[in-house]
Amino acid sequence: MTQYFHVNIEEFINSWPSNFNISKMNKNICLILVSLFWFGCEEAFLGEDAPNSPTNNFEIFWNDFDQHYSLFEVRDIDWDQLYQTYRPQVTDELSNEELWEVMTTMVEHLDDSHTALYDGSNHYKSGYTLNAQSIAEFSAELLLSRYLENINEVKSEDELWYGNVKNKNIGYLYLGSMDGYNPSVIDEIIRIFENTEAIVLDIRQNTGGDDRYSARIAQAFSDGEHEIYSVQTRNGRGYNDFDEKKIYHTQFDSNNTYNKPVIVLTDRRTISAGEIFLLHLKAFDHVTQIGDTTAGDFSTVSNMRFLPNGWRYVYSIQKFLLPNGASLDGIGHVPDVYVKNTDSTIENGKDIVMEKAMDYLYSEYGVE
Amino acid sequence: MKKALLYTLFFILSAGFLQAQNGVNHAVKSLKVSAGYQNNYLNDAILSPLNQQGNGMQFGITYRRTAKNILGISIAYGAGELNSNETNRFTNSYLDINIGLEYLVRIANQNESVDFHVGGAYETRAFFVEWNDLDAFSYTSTQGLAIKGMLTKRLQPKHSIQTSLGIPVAQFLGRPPYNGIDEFIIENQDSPVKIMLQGEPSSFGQYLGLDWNVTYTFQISPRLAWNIDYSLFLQKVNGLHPYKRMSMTPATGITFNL
Repeated sequence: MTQYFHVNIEEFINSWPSNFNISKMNKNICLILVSLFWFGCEEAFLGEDAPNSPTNNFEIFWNDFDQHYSLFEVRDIDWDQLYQTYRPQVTDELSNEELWEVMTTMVEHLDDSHTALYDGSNHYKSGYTLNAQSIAEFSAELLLSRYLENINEVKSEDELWYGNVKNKNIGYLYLGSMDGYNPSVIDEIIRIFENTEAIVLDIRQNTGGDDRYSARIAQAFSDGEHEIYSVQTRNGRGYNDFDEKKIYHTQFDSNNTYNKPVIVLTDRRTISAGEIFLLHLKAFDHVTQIGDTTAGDFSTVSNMRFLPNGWRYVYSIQKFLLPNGASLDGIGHVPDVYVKNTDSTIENGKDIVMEKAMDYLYSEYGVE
Repeated sequence: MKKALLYTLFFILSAGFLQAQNGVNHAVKSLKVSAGYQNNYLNDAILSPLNQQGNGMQFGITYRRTAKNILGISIAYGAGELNSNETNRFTNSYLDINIGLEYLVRIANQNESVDFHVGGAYETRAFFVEWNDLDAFSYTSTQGLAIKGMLTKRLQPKHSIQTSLGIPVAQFLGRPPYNGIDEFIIENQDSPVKIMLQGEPSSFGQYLGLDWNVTYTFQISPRLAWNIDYSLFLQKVNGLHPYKRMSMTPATGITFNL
């Protein structure tokens, strides 16, 4: 390739008319300059590529977490100790499957489902066993067939539908994620629910999304402006290097708010922006959380990270703190009333979380 | 940003004043349009530990007003893809936008076939790279002053070669935060320009750049010329997350004398 262009550049310069007043020396200078800058200098400038070996992939992976992961202190993780444990298991003779096993076992200690590893076909999330198990403990079909009526889906939003609880003056709203084009659609839904006695707000299996979306939806249930949490992003090599606290408050619009009883249903797969949504809701006196403890993964996920072997991964880069300085990372939102479905309750056609919500509304608020 | 606007305003006014002092009546105005094939080499520790390389088209428009001195405005836009050498799974898209305003003063010279100009340029450069619909992204933006020298050699009445070298001296540098994302980016994710142009003054050691260009021009007619360009652009940011980019662009274009 270089030779091909080299010859052609030379031919090009030599083909100039002989009456050009350019000396042979000048031609040579031109030739050298063009050749020098055209070819081969990128490696000298960029440096050598990172080697694709199991040991180097492991080292990049471990060091990247070491320098950027935000929750070692909050989750009480001794990352150096994990290096001492797992690094000796990695040699350049390791197969991809064996390296996968070592790396996923190491980050399983983080118990943080915002830490994920992908190899192109397999997908691993740290501490995701209970979250995955909860998928079978929720059935939208069961809700629709047994408990709800007059269901409407809001097409502009991602997994947002609403209706009524059968034979009761109770509104029902399902939010499967915190993504969509127009979260202010919630104001219209609240107006539709104006004459209901209560609302069941179901965020089970909510996979998260945009924290701003969570804040806007929560505004529709707000009873005022409350300080709810602060966010800091890791910004240095030290495990305690974080940028300035950004403090968040609930939003409030007295003309567009529902302040009758609200029951919010949660499970282990209610995560991330879904949990941020709960941080807002739990600041309001008329909201009660019923169900299972949430995932306990609040941080924004990092940009996708890349390894020489083609694997990619993400991790947490922030810490969320309550106004009292406590963190719910690794803990989750503990419900006011704990109840959870099992595979068998769902298979037997009962959503006992939904039924508990009805019982609670009757016993606490007299809503039949 | 305010400082950047003040610099620009000062630069434009100074350039206009100096142009007026040097006899605008004899000015030649030209408009050049060009298209090139940009070869990019990138190592950006914010984006990936892997070297990236790839290419794409680059299009440019340059307006120049040449009397004794030269006043020029240029815009270039490039887009394409970058791949790592190790795997083809990580194909990134990039955007490269450059806007420049230059004023070059002719240096007295005994040789009539050679012109030498030196001066300054105010440049805004933005390079944005992303993977899979923003699952990963990084950027480098610079705004500021560069010193520039330009040598023009007339080989024959219709043939000339011009080469220029620009070196940035005072730049506002915009780079992602330590972890690639922070609350500022999250809150302003719908305003990418606001994010990218949020720069801080960089020291000469922190940011290094070099912009070298060589152009061969064939004057087809008094109003029309054909150009072949080759440009080399180097950019280096030192710090916790180093960034290096080399861009080599062969291009061709047409210059219209207005």
